[in-house]
Amino acid sequence: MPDHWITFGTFKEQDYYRYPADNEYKGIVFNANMVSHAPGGLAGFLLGKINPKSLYIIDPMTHAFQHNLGHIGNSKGEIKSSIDKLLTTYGSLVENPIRGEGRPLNPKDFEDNKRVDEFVRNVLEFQTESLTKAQKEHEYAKYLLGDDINRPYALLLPYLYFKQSTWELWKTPQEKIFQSFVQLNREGLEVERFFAAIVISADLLGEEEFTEWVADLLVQSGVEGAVLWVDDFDENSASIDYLRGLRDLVRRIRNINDDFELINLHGGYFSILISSAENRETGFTGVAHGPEFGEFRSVIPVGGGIPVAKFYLMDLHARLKYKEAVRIFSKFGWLESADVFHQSVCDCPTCREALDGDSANFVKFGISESKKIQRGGGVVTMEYPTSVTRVLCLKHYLYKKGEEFKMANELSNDQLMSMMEATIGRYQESIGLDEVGNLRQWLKAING
Amino acid sequence: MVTGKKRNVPEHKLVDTLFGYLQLRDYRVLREVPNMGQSVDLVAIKNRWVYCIEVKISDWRRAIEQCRAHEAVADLIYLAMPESKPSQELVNTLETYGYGLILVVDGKIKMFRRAKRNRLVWKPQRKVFMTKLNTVVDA
Repeated sequence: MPDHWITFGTFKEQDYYRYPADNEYKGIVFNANMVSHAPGGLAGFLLGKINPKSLYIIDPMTHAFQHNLGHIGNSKGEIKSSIDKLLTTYGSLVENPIRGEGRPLNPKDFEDNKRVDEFVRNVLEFQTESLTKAQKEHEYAKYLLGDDINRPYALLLPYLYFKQSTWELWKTPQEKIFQSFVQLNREGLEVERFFAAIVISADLLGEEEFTEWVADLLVQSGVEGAVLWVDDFDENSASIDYLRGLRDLVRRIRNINDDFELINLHGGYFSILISSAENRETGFTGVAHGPEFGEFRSVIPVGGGIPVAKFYLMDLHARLKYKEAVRIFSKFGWLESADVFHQSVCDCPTCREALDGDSANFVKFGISESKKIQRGGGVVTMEYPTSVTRVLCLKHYLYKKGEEFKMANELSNDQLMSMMEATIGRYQESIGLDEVGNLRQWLKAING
Repeated sequence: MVTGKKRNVPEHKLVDTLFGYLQLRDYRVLREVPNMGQSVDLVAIKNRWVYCIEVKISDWRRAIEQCRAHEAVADLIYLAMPESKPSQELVNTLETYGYGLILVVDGKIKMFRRAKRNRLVWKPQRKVFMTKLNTVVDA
Protein backbone atom coordinates (compact mmCIF):
# COMPACT_ATOMS: atom_id res chain seq x y z
CA MET A 1 0.00 0.00 0.00
CA PRO A 2 -0.72 2.38 -1.51
CA ASP A 3 -1.18 1.25 -5.09
CA HIS A 4 -0.18 3.75 -7.74
CA TRP A 5 -3.08 4.74 -9.99
CA ILE A 6 -3.07 7.35 -12.72
CA THR A 7 -5.87 9.35 -14.30
CA PHE A 8 -5.99 9.60 -18.07
CA GLY A 9 -5.33 13.11 -19.31
CA THR A 10 -5.17 13.45 -23.08
CA PHE A 11 -3.93 11.32 -25.95
CA LYS A 12 -0.81 13.50 -26.08
CA GLU A 13 0.57 11.66 -23.06
CA GLN A 14 -0.53 8.18 -24.09
CA ASP A 15 3.03 6.96 -24.59
CA TYR A 16 3.86 7.59 -20.94
CA TYR A 17 1.46 5.31 -19.12
CA ARG A 18 4.19 2.66 -19.08
CA TYR A 19 6.75 5.10 -17.70
CA PRO A 20 8.93 4.82 -15.67
CA ALA A 21 8.18 1.10 -15.60
CA ASP A 22 5.83 -1.17 -17.45
CA ASN A 23 4.07 -2.21 -14.28
CA GLU A 24 4.26 1.11 -12.42
CA TYR A 25 0.51 1.79 -12.40
CA LYS A 26 -1.99 -0.62 -10.97
CA GLY A 27 -4.72 1.06 -12.95
CA ILE A 28 -5.98 4.01 -14.92
CA VAL A 29 -9.04 6.16 -14.36
CA PHE A 30 -10.93 7.43 -17.39
CA ASN A 31 -13.53 10.15 -17.34
CA ALA A 32 -16.88 9.27 -18.87
CA ASN A 33 -16.84 12.26 -21.20
CA MET A 34 -13.59 11.03 -22.74
CA VAL A 35 -15.02 7.51 -23.03
CA SER A 36 -18.10 8.94 -24.66
CA HIS A 37 -16.11 11.20 -26.96
CA ALA A 38 -13.36 8.82 -28.08
CA PRO A 39 -14.13 5.19 -27.30
CA GLY A 40 -12.17 3.94 -30.31
CA GLY A 41 -9.10 5.90 -29.33
CA LEU A 42 -9.29 4.62 -25.77
CA ALA A 43 -9.81 1.09 -27.00
CA GLY A 44 -6.61 1.41 -29.03
CA PHE A 45 -4.91 2.78 -25.96
CA LEU A 46 -6.05 -0.16 -23.83
CA LEU A 47 -5.10 -2.70 -26.46
CA GLY A 48 -1.87 -1.24 -27.68
CA LYS A 49 -0.36 1.36 -25.41
CA ILE A 50 -0.46 0.09 -21.87
CA ASN A 51 0.47 -3.00 -19.95
CA PRO A 52 -2.34 -5.45 -20.78
CA LYS A 53 -2.62 -6.28 -17.08
CA SER A 54 -3.44 -2.68 -16.21
CA LEU A 55 -6.79 -2.25 -14.58
CA TYR A 56 -9.15 0.60 -15.33
CA ILE A 57 -12.13 2.37 -13.87
CA ILE A 58 -14.52 4.78 -15.59
CA ASP A 59 -15.70 7.77 -13.60
CA PRO A 60 -19.30 8.21 -14.79
CA MET A 61 -19.18 11.94 -13.90
CA THR A 62 -22.80 12.00 -12.78
CA HIS A 63 -22.05 15.06 -10.64
CA ALA A 64 -21.85 17.05 -13.88
CA PHE A 65 -25.63 17.34 -14.05
CA GLN A 66 -25.98 19.01 -10.65
CA HIS A 67 -24.20 22.21 -11.58
CA ASN A 68 -25.12 25.37 -13.42
CA LEU A 69 -25.43 24.26 -17.06
CA GLY A 70 -22.80 26.82 -18.04
CA HIS A 71 -20.20 24.44 -16.62
CA ILE A 72 -21.09 21.75 -19.14
CA GLY A 73 -21.59 24.09 -22.07
CA ASN A 74 -19.35 25.06 -24.93
CA SER A 75 -18.53 28.57 -26.17
CA LYS A 76 -21.82 28.66 -28.11
CA GLY A 77 -23.84 27.95 -25.01
CA GLU A 78 -24.74 24.41 -26.10
CA ILE A 79 -24.13 21.33 -23.97
CA LYS A 80 -20.70 19.91 -24.86
CA SER A 81 -21.18 17.03 -27.26
CA SER A 82 -19.44 14.46 -25.05
CA ILE A 83 -21.70 15.37 -22.11
CA ASP A 84 -24.72 15.43 -24.41
CA LYS A 85 -24.01 11.83 -25.37
CA LEU A 86 -23.95 10.91 -21.69
CA LEU A 87 -27.37 12.49 -21.23
CA THR A 88 -28.79 10.19 -23.87
CA THR A 89 -26.99 7.19 -22.41
CA TYR A 90 -27.97 7.80 -18.80
CA GLY A 91 -31.62 8.36 -19.56
CA SER A 92 -34.62 10.40 -18.58
CA LEU A 93 -33.64 11.18 -15.00
CA VAL A 94 -30.92 13.52 -16.32
CA GLU A 95 -32.20 14.08 -19.84
CA ASN A 96 -35.54 15.54 -18.88
CA PRO A 97 -34.38 18.35 -16.62
CA ILE A 98 -31.29 19.25 -18.61
CA ARG A 99 -32.40 18.90 -22.20
CA GLY A 100 -36.10 19.18 -21.62
CA GLU A 101 -36.23 21.99 -19.09
CA GLY A 102 -32.80 23.59 -19.45
CA ARG A 103 -31.93 23.30 -15.76
CA PRO A 104 -29.58 21.22 -13.60
CA LEU A 105 -30.75 18.29 -11.50
CA ASN A 106 -32.48 18.93 -8.24
CA PRO A 107 -33.44 16.42 -5.53
CA LYS A 108 -37.04 16.20 -6.76
CA ASP A 109 -35.82 14.55 -9.96
CA PHE A 110 -35.13 11.45 -7.87
CA GLU A 111 -38.72 11.00 -6.66
CA ASP A 112 -39.63 8.58 -9.43
CA ASN A 113 -38.12 5.25 -8.40
CA LYS A 114 -38.37 3.77 -11.86
CA ARG A 115 -36.35 6.64 -13.25
CA VAL A 116 -33.74 6.13 -10.54
CA ASP A 117 -33.54 2.41 -11.35
CA GLU A 118 -33.15 3.17 -15.06
CA PHE A 119 -30.46 5.75 -14.26
CA VAL A 120 -28.45 3.38 -12.06
CA ARG A 121 -28.67 0.57 -14.60
CA ASN A 122 -27.71 2.84 -17.51
CA VAL A 123 -24.73 4.33 -15.69
CA LEU A 124 -23.41 0.89 -14.78
CA GLU A 125 -24.04 -0.54 -18.24
CA PHE A 126 -22.25 2.38 -19.85
CA GLN A 127 -19.15 1.55 -17.86
CA THR A 128 -19.26 -2.15 -18.55
CA GLU A 129 -20.12 -1.87 -22.24
CA SER A 130 -18.59 1.22 -23.78
CA LEU A 131 -14.92 0.31 -23.83
CA THR A 132 -15.62 -3.41 -24.00
CA LYS A 133 -17.55 -2.92 -27.23
CA ALA A 134 -14.96 -0.49 -28.55
CA GLN A 135 -12.15 -2.99 -27.94
CA LYS A 136 -14.06 -5.76 -29.71
CA GLU A 137 -14.52 -3.51 -32.73
CA HIS A 138 -10.94 -2.26 -32.79
CA GLU A 139 -8.50 -3.47 -35.44
CA TYR A 140 -6.18 -4.73 -32.68
CA ALA A 141 -8.89 -7.11 -31.48
CA LYS A 142 -7.76 -9.70 -33.99
CA TYR A 143 -4.59 -10.12 -31.92
CA LEU A 144 -6.47 -10.97 -28.76
CA LEU A 145 -6.64 -14.48 -27.44
CA GLY A 146 -10.15 -15.67 -26.78
CA ASP A 147 -12.14 -13.14 -24.81
CA ASP A 148 -9.11 -11.22 -23.61
CA ILE A 149 -10.94 -7.93 -23.53
CA ASN A 150 -9.94 -5.58 -20.75
CA ARG A 151 -13.01 -4.95 -18.64
CA PRO A 152 -13.37 -2.35 -15.88
CA TYR A 153 -11.85 -3.30 -12.55
CA ALA A 154 -14.92 -1.97 -10.77
CA LEU A 155 -18.10 -0.16 -11.71
CA LEU A 156 -18.85 3.11 -9.99
CA LEU A 157 -22.36 3.81 -8.80
CA PRO A 158 -23.88 7.10 -9.88
CA TYR A 159 -22.87 9.77 -7.43
CA LEU A 160 -23.68 13.29 -6.41
CA TYR A 161 -21.43 16.11 -5.25
CA PHE A 162 -21.78 17.09 -1.62
CA LYS A 163 -20.84 20.31 0.05
CA GLN A 164 -21.61 21.62 3.51
CA SER A 165 -24.37 23.99 2.43
CA THR A 166 -26.43 21.46 0.47
CA TRP A 167 -25.46 17.94 1.46
CA GLU A 168 -28.55 17.31 3.49
CA LEU A 169 -30.70 18.12 0.46
CA TRP A 170 -28.89 15.54 -1.65
CA LYS A 171 -28.91 12.81 1.00
CA THR A 172 -32.16 11.20 -0.06
CA PRO A 173 -31.32 11.09 -3.79
CA GLN A 174 -27.97 9.43 -3.02
CA GLU A 175 -29.68 6.96 -0.65
CA LYS A 176 -32.16 6.12 -3.39
CA ILE A 177 -29.30 5.42 -5.78
CA PHE A 178 -27.80 3.00 -3.29
CA GLN A 179 -31.17 1.36 -2.60
CA SER A 180 -31.71 0.88 -6.31
CA PHE A 181 -28.27 -0.67 -6.61
CA VAL A 182 -28.93 -3.11 -3.79
CA GLN A 183 -32.08 -4.35 -5.57
CA LEU A 184 -30.54 -4.28 -9.03
CA ASN A 185 -30.48 -7.39 -11.16
CA ARG A 186 -26.80 -7.46 -12.03
CA GLU A 187 -27.08 -10.02 -14.76
CA GLY A 188 -25.32 -8.86 -17.87
CA LEU A 189 -23.05 -6.39 -16.16
CA GLU A 190 -20.05 -8.73 -16.54
CA VAL A 191 -18.19 -7.03 -13.72
CA GLU A 192 -18.62 -8.11 -10.14
CA ARG A 193 -16.92 -5.38 -8.22
CA PHE A 194 -18.80 -2.20 -7.39
CA PHE A 195 -17.50 0.98 -5.89
CA ALA A 196 -19.17 4.07 -4.57
CA ALA A 197 -17.82 7.51 -5.42
CA ILE A 198 -17.53 10.07 -2.62
CA VAL A 199 -17.16 13.51 -4.16
CA ILE A 200 -17.20 16.32 -1.62
CA SER A 201 -16.08 19.82 -0.88
CA ALA A 202 -13.32 20.20 1.71
CA ASP A 203 -15.68 21.85 4.16
CA LEU A 204 -17.20 18.42 4.84
CA LEU A 205 -13.89 17.02 6.07
CA GLY A 206 -14.22 16.62 9.81
CA GLU A 207 -18.01 16.76 9.73
CA GLU A 208 -18.83 13.76 11.87
CA GLU A 209 -22.49 13.50 10.92
CA PHE A 210 -21.60 13.40 7.24
CA THR A 211 -18.79 10.91 7.77
CA GLU A 212 -21.02 8.51 9.69
CA TRP A 213 -23.76 8.81 7.09
CA VAL A 214 -21.31 7.93 4.32
CA ALA A 215 -19.88 4.99 6.26
CA ASP A 216 -23.36 3.60 6.98
CA LEU A 217 -24.37 3.93 3.37
CA LEU A 218 -21.27 2.09 2.21
CA VAL A 219 -21.85 -0.74 4.68
CA GLN A 220 -25.53 -1.13 3.84
CA SER A 221 -24.94 -1.11 0.10
CA GLY A 222 -22.39 -3.91 0.17
CA VAL A 223 -20.04 -2.16 -2.26
CA GLU A 224 -16.50 -3.50 -2.26
CA GLY A 225 -14.82 -0.13 -2.25
CA ALA A 226 -14.99 3.55 -3.05
CA VAL A 227 -13.17 6.33 -4.80
CA LEU A 228 -12.76 9.69 -3.09
CA TRP A 229 -12.45 13.13 -4.66
CA VAL A 230 -12.21 16.21 -2.46
CA ASP A 231 -12.94 19.24 -4.60
CA ASP A 232 -9.85 21.31 -5.46
CA PHE A 233 -7.96 19.92 -2.48
CA ASP A 234 -4.35 20.97 -2.82
CA GLU A 235 -2.53 19.04 -0.11
CA ASN A 236 0.41 21.44 -0.42
CA SER A 237 -1.62 24.35 0.86
CA ALA A 238 -4.47 22.76 2.83
CA SER A 239 -4.98 23.66 6.48
CA ILE A 240 -4.01 21.26 9.23
CA ASP A 241 -7.69 20.80 10.13
CA TYR A 242 -8.59 19.78 6.58
CA LEU A 243 -5.56 17.47 6.32
CA ARG A 244 -6.58 15.80 9.58
CA GLY A 245 -10.17 15.69 8.37
CA LEU A 246 -9.03 13.83 5.26
CA ARG A 247 -6.95 11.41 7.30
CA ASP A 248 -9.88 10.74 9.67
CA LEU A 249 -12.39 10.27 6.84
CA VAL A 250 -10.09 7.74 5.22
CA ARG A 251 -9.60 5.88 8.52
CA ARG A 252 -13.32 5.73 9.11
CA ILE A 253 -14.07 4.34 5.68
CA ARG A 254 -11.25 1.79 5.80
CA ASN A 255 -12.64 0.69 9.14
CA ILE A 256 -15.63 -0.78 7.31
CA ASN A 257 -13.72 -3.97 6.75
CA ASP A 258 -10.16 -5.11 6.02
CA ASP A 259 -10.82 -5.65 2.34
CA PHE A 260 -12.58 -2.37 1.67
CA GLU A 261 -10.72 -0.52 -1.06
CA LEU A 262 -10.44 3.24 -1.12
CA ILE A 263 -8.74 5.14 -3.92
CA ASN A 264 -8.05 8.86 -3.86
CA LEU A 265 -8.74 10.00 -7.41
CA HIS A 266 -6.69 13.19 -7.06
CA GLY A 267 -4.05 12.85 -4.38
CA GLY A 268 -0.55 14.06 -3.64
CA TYR A 269 2.24 13.09 -1.30
CA PHE A 270 0.18 13.61 1.86
CA SER A 271 -2.26 10.96 0.67
CA ILE A 272 0.66 8.66 -0.05
CA LEU A 273 2.16 9.34 3.40
CA ILE A 274 -1.01 8.50 5.33
CA SER A 275 -1.25 5.31 3.29
CA SER A 276 2.31 4.09 3.81
CA ALA A 277 3.17 0.48 4.63
CA GLU A 278 2.79 1.06 8.36
CA ASN A 279 -0.58 2.72 7.76
CA ARG A 280 -1.88 0.08 5.38
CA GLU A 281 -4.97 -0.61 7.46
CA THR A 282 -6.03 3.00 7.85
CA GLY A 283 -4.90 4.74 4.68
CA PHE A 284 -5.91 4.75 1.05
CA THR A 285 -5.44 1.47 -0.78
CA GLY A 286 -4.64 3.49 -3.89
CA VAL A 287 -3.77 7.05 -4.83
CA ALA A 288 -4.24 8.46 -8.32
CA HIS A 289 -2.95 11.57 -10.02
CA GLY A 290 -2.77 12.81 -13.56
CA PRO A 291 0.23 12.93 -15.87
CA GLU A 292 2.00 15.95 -14.37
CA PHE A 293 -1.19 17.44 -12.94
CA GLY A 294 -4.28 16.20 -11.16
CA GLU A 295 -2.98 15.91 -7.61
CA PHE A 296 -5.95 18.14 -6.99
CA ARG A 297 -8.83 18.90 -9.28
CA SER A 298 -11.89 21.12 -9.21
CA VAL A 299 -15.30 19.57 -9.58
CA ILE A 300 -16.21 22.47 -11.84
CA PRO A 301 -15.56 23.27 -14.60
CA VAL A 302 -16.41 19.78 -15.80
CA GLY A 303 -13.44 18.39 -17.68
CA GLY A 304 -10.82 20.34 -19.60
CA GLY A 305 -7.94 22.45 -18.38
CA ILE A 306 -4.50 22.98 -19.86
CA PRO A 307 -1.70 21.63 -17.70
CA VAL A 308 1.38 23.81 -17.33
CA ALA A 309 4.78 22.17 -17.39
CA LYS A 310 6.54 22.50 -14.03
CA PHE A 311 9.54 20.89 -12.39
CA TYR A 312 8.73 18.44 -9.62
CA LEU A 313 11.07 18.90 -6.69
CA MET A 314 11.13 15.67 -4.75
CA ASP A 315 12.41 17.26 -1.54
CA LEU A 316 9.37 19.51 -1.31
CA HIS A 317 6.97 17.08 -3.01
CA ALA A 318 5.73 19.98 -5.04
CA ARG A 319 5.65 21.09 -8.65
CA LEU A 320 7.57 24.30 -9.09
CA LYS A 321 7.33 26.84 -11.83
CA TYR A 322 10.54 26.74 -13.79
CA LYS A 323 11.53 30.24 -12.63
CA GLU A 324 11.11 29.16 -9.00
CA ALA A 325 13.21 26.07 -9.58
CA VAL A 326 15.99 28.19 -11.11
CA ARG A 327 15.82 30.62 -8.22
CA ILE A 328 16.03 27.93 -5.56
CA PHE A 329 18.72 25.88 -7.29
CA SER A 330 20.82 28.98 -7.98
CA LYS A 331 20.52 30.00 -4.34
CA PHE A 332 21.90 26.66 -3.22
CA GLY A 333 24.56 26.49 -5.93
CA TRP A 334 23.01 23.36 -7.42
CA LEU A 335 23.38 24.61 -10.96
CA GLU A 336 27.16 24.89 -10.74
CA SER A 337 27.74 21.51 -12.30
CA ALA A 338 25.86 18.46 -13.48
CA ASP A 339 27.37 16.36 -10.69
CA VAL A 340 26.17 18.80 -8.03
CA PHE A 341 22.72 18.87 -9.63
CA HIS A 342 22.42 15.11 -9.70
CA GLN A 343 23.60 14.79 -6.10
CA SER A 344 21.40 17.54 -4.73
CA VAL A 345 18.33 17.76 -6.94
CA CYS A 346 17.72 14.72 -9.09
CA ASP A 347 19.53 11.75 -10.52
CA CYS A 348 16.66 10.30 -12.55
CA PRO A 349 17.26 9.07 -16.12
CA THR A 350 15.38 12.05 -17.56
CA CYS A 351 17.51 14.60 -15.73
CA ARG A 352 20.70 12.72 -16.60
CA GLU A 353 19.77 12.60 -20.25
CA ALA A 354 18.62 16.22 -20.36
CA LEU A 355 21.68 17.64 -18.62
CA ASP A 356 24.07 15.36 -20.48
CA GLY A 357 26.95 16.31 -18.20
CA ASP A 358 26.30 20.07 -18.33
CA SER A 359 24.11 21.82 -15.75
CA ALA A 360 23.46 24.63 -18.24
CA ASN A 361 21.13 22.22 -19.98
CA PHE A 362 18.67 22.56 -17.13
CA VAL A 363 17.27 25.36 -19.31
CA LYS A 364 15.61 22.59 -21.31
CA PHE A 365 13.01 22.29 -18.54
CA GLY A 366 11.93 25.86 -19.16
CA ILE A 367 11.93 26.46 -22.90
CA SER A 368 8.76 28.17 -24.05
CA GLU A 369 7.36 29.55 -27.27
CA SER A 370 5.27 32.64 -27.76
CA LYS A 371 1.73 32.44 -29.06
CA LYS A 372 -0.67 35.27 -29.67
CA ILE A 373 -4.14 34.69 -28.26
CA GLN A 374 -7.34 36.65 -28.08
CA ARG A 375 -8.11 37.92 -24.61
CA GLY A 376 -10.46 40.60 -23.37
CA GLY A 377 -11.04 42.23 -26.71
CA GLY A 378 -7.35 42.37 -27.58
CA VAL A 379 -4.47 40.17 -28.60
CA VAL A 380 -1.88 39.22 -26.02
CA THR A 381 1.27 37.17 -26.29
CA MET A 382 1.43 34.18 -23.99
CA GLU A 383 4.31 31.83 -23.32
CA TYR A 384 3.66 28.10 -23.54
CA PRO A 385 6.17 25.33 -22.86
CA THR A 386 7.41 23.56 -25.96
CA SER A 387 6.46 19.93 -26.47
CA VAL A 388 10.06 18.90 -25.69
CA THR A 389 9.92 20.76 -22.37
CA ARG A 390 6.53 19.25 -21.56
CA VAL A 391 7.79 15.74 -22.14
CA LEU A 392 10.90 16.31 -20.02
CA CYS A 393 8.85 17.69 -17.13
CA LEU A 394 6.33 14.86 -17.49
CA LYS A 395 8.89 12.06 -17.53
CA HIS A 396 10.80 13.54 -14.60
CA TYR A 397 7.51 13.93 -12.67
CA LEU A 398 6.38 10.37 -13.29
CA TYR A 399 9.74 9.01 -12.25
CA LYS A 400 9.65 10.97 -8.99
CA LYS A 401 6.08 9.93 -8.24
CA GLY A 402 7.12 6.33 -8.72
CA GLU A 403 9.88 6.90 -6.17
CA GLU A 404 7.40 8.38 -3.70
CA PHE A 405 5.16 5.33 -3.86
CA LYS A 406 8.20 3.08 -3.49
CA MET A 407 9.35 5.02 -0.42
CA ALA A 408 5.90 4.82 1.15
CA ASN A 409 5.81 1.08 0.59
CA GLU A 410 9.32 0.38 1.85
CA LEU A 411 10.21 2.89 4.55
CA SER A 412 8.91 3.20 8.08
CA ASN A 413 6.81 6.16 9.19
CA ASP A 414 9.73 7.39 11.28
CA GLN A 415 11.98 7.36 8.26
CA LEU A 416 9.46 9.22 6.13
CA MET A 417 8.93 11.87 8.79
CA SER A 418 12.68 12.26 9.35
CA MET A 419 13.21 12.90 5.67
CA MET A 420 10.71 15.75 5.74
CA GLU A 421 12.22 17.20 8.90
CA ALA A 422 15.67 17.12 7.31
CA THR A 423 14.33 18.93 4.25
CA ILE A 424 12.78 21.63 6.41
CA GLY A 425 16.10 22.11 8.17
CA ARG A 426 18.02 22.27 4.91
CA TYR A 427 15.70 24.64 3.05
CA GLN A 428 14.06 27.04 5.44
CA GLU A 429 17.10 29.14 6.33
CA SER A 430 18.02 29.75 2.73
CA ILE A 431 14.72 30.08 0.96
CA GLY A 432 12.28 30.87 3.75
CA LEU A 433 9.70 29.19 5.91
CA ASP A 434 6.91 29.52 3.35
CA GLU A 435 8.63 27.24 0.87
CA VAL A 436 8.55 24.32 3.29
CA GLY A 437 5.19 25.19 4.80
CA ASN A 438 3.53 22.16 3.26
CA LEU A 439 5.96 19.79 4.96
CA ARG A 440 5.35 21.46 8.33
CA GLN A 441 1.60 21.15 7.89
CA TRP A 442 1.84 17.49 6.97
CA LEU A 443 4.03 16.67 9.95
CA LYS A 444 1.60 18.43 12.28
CA ALA A 445 -1.42 16.81 10.69
CA ILE A 446 0.09 13.34 10.98
CA ASN A 447 1.76 13.65 14.37
CA GLY A 448 -0.86 15.77 16.07
CA MET B 1 0.46 50.31 1.70
CA VAL B 2 1.68 53.11 -0.50
CA THR B 3 1.12 56.48 1.12
CA GLY B 4 2.09 58.92 -1.56
CA LYS B 5 -0.14 60.73 -3.99
CA LYS B 6 -1.59 58.28 -6.49
CA ARG B 7 -2.17 59.18 -10.11
CA ASN B 8 -4.86 57.52 -12.19
CA VAL B 9 -2.60 56.72 -15.12
CA PRO B 10 -2.99 53.63 -17.25
CA GLU B 11 -0.01 51.34 -17.00
CA HIS B 12 0.79 51.49 -20.70
CA LYS B 13 1.18 55.27 -20.42
CA LEU B 14 3.83 54.82 -17.78
CA VAL B 15 5.54 52.27 -19.97
CA ASP B 16 5.46 54.71 -22.90
CA THR B 17 6.91 57.52 -20.78
CA LEU B 18 9.73 55.36 -19.53
CA PHE B 19 10.34 53.92 -22.96
CA GLY B 20 10.83 57.38 -24.45
CA TYR B 21 12.99 58.52 -21.55
CA LEU B 22 15.35 55.56 -21.88
CA GLN B 23 15.55 55.75 -25.64
CA LEU B 24 16.59 59.39 -25.42
CA ARG B 25 19.43 58.29 -23.18
CA ASP B 26 20.68 55.82 -25.80
CA TYR B 27 19.39 52.64 -24.23
CA ARG B 28 18.13 49.93 -26.54
CA VAL B 29 14.63 49.43 -25.16
CA LEU B 30 12.13 46.64 -25.71
CA ARG B 31 8.67 45.95 -24.36
CA GLU B 32 7.08 42.70 -23.21
CA VAL B 33 10.12 40.49 -23.41
CA PRO B 34 9.37 36.86 -22.44
CA ASN B 35 11.22 35.53 -19.44
CA MET B 36 10.51 32.11 -17.94
CA GLY B 37 6.79 32.08 -18.44
CA GLN B 38 6.11 35.77 -17.89
CA SER B 39 6.91 39.01 -19.68
CA VAL B 40 9.13 41.83 -18.58
CA ASP B 41 7.38 45.17 -19.07
CA LEU B 42 10.56 46.89 -20.24
CA VAL B 43 14.08 45.71 -20.93
CA ALA B 44 16.77 48.31 -21.38
CA ILE B 45 20.27 47.51 -22.58
CA LYS B 46 23.32 49.71 -22.55
CA ASN B 47 26.79 48.41 -23.25
CA ARG B 48 26.81 45.01 -21.54
CA TRP B 49 24.26 45.86 -18.86
CA VAL B 50 20.76 44.47 -18.95
CA TYR B 51 18.04 46.25 -16.97
CA CYS B 52 14.61 44.71 -16.31
CA ILE B 53 11.86 47.12 -15.31
CA GLU B 54 8.45 46.13 -13.97
CA VAL B 55 5.85 48.87 -14.21
CA LYS B 56 2.95 48.86 -11.75
CA ILE B 57 0.16 51.30 -10.96
CA SER B 58 -0.39 49.62 -7.62
CA ASP B 59 0.09 46.16 -6.05
CA TRP B 60 3.84 46.54 -5.70
CA ARG B 61 4.00 43.19 -3.93
CA ARG B 62 2.98 41.47 -7.14
CA ALA B 63 5.64 43.46 -8.97
CA ILE B 64 8.29 42.30 -6.49
CA GLU B 65 7.30 38.69 -7.20
CA GLN B 66 7.65 39.34 -10.91
CA CYS B 67 11.04 40.97 -10.35
CA ARG B 68 12.31 37.88 -8.57
CA ALA B 69 12.09 35.89 -11.77
CA HIS B 70 14.34 38.44 -13.46
CA GLU B 71 17.17 37.76 -11.00
CA ALA B 72 18.26 34.89 -13.22
CA VAL B 73 18.80 37.17 -16.23
CA ALA B 74 19.14 40.87 -15.35
CA ASP B 75 22.08 42.85 -14.01
CA LEU B 76 19.84 45.50 -12.53
CA ILE B 77 16.17 45.27 -11.65
CA TYR B 78 13.78 48.17 -11.23
CA LEU B 79 10.23 48.76 -10.22
CA ALA B 80 8.50 51.81 -11.73
CA MET B 81 5.38 53.35 -10.17
CA PRO B 82 3.30 56.54 -10.46
CA GLU B 83 3.96 57.53 -6.86
CA SER B 84 5.33 60.75 -5.44
CA LYS B 85 6.09 59.22 -2.05
CA PRO B 86 6.54 55.45 -1.73
CA SER B 87 5.81 53.77 1.58
CA GLN B 88 8.55 52.73 3.98
CA GLU B 89 7.42 49.13 3.63
CA LEU B 90 8.04 49.25 -0.11
CA VAL B 91 11.41 50.91 0.36
CA ASN B 92 12.44 48.30 2.92
CA THR B 93 11.42 45.48 0.61
CA LEU B 94 13.41 46.98 -2.25
CA GLU B 95 16.41 47.25 0.07
CA THR B 96 16.07 43.56 0.96
CA TYR B 97 16.18 42.47 -2.67
CA GLY B 98 18.46 45.17 -4.02
CA TYR B 99 15.93 46.44 -6.55
CA GLY B 100 15.70 50.02 -7.66
CA LEU B 101 12.68 52.31 -7.78
CA ILE B 102 11.74 54.79 -10.49
CA LEU B 103 8.90 57.21 -9.84
CA VAL B 104 6.89 58.48 -12.80
CA VAL B 105 4.66 61.43 -11.93
CA ASP B 106 3.04 63.83 -14.40
CA GLY B 107 5.32 62.62 -17.17
CA LYS B 108 8.46 63.26 -15.11
CA ILE B 109 10.92 60.54 -14.18
CA LYS B 110 12.68 60.45 -10.84
CA MET B 111 15.28 57.88 -9.83
CA PHE B 112 14.21 57.32 -6.22
CA ARG B 113 16.54 54.44 -5.47
CA ARG B 114 19.30 52.91 -7.56
CA ALA B 115 19.34 49.14 -7.98
CA LYS B 116 22.26 47.14 -6.66
CA ARG B 117 24.07 44.90 -9.09
CA ASN B 118 22.32 41.54 -9.14
CA ARG B 119 24.79 38.72 -8.51
CA LEU B 120 22.30 35.90 -9.05
CA VAL B 121 22.39 35.87 -12.85
CA TRP B 122 22.54 32.35 -14.17
CA LYS B 123 24.44 32.55 -17.43
CA PRO B 124 22.62 29.77 -19.32
CA GLN B 125 19.27 31.44 -18.60
CA ARG B 126 20.69 34.82 -19.53
CA LYS B 127 21.71 33.33 -22.88
CA VAL B 128 18.16 32.05 -23.47
CA PHE B 129 16.80 35.45 -22.47
CA MET B 130 19.08 37.32 -24.86
CA THR B 131 18.01 35.01 -27.67
CA LYS B 132 14.35 35.71 -26.91
CA LEU B 133 15.08 39.38 -26.66
CA ASN B 134 16.47 39.43 -30.16
CA THR B 135 13.21 38.02 -31.50
CA VAL B 136 11.18 40.87 -30.00
CA VAL B 137 10.65 43.62 -32.54
CA ASP B 138 11.96 46.98 -31.34
CA ALA B 139 9.03 49.37 -31.17
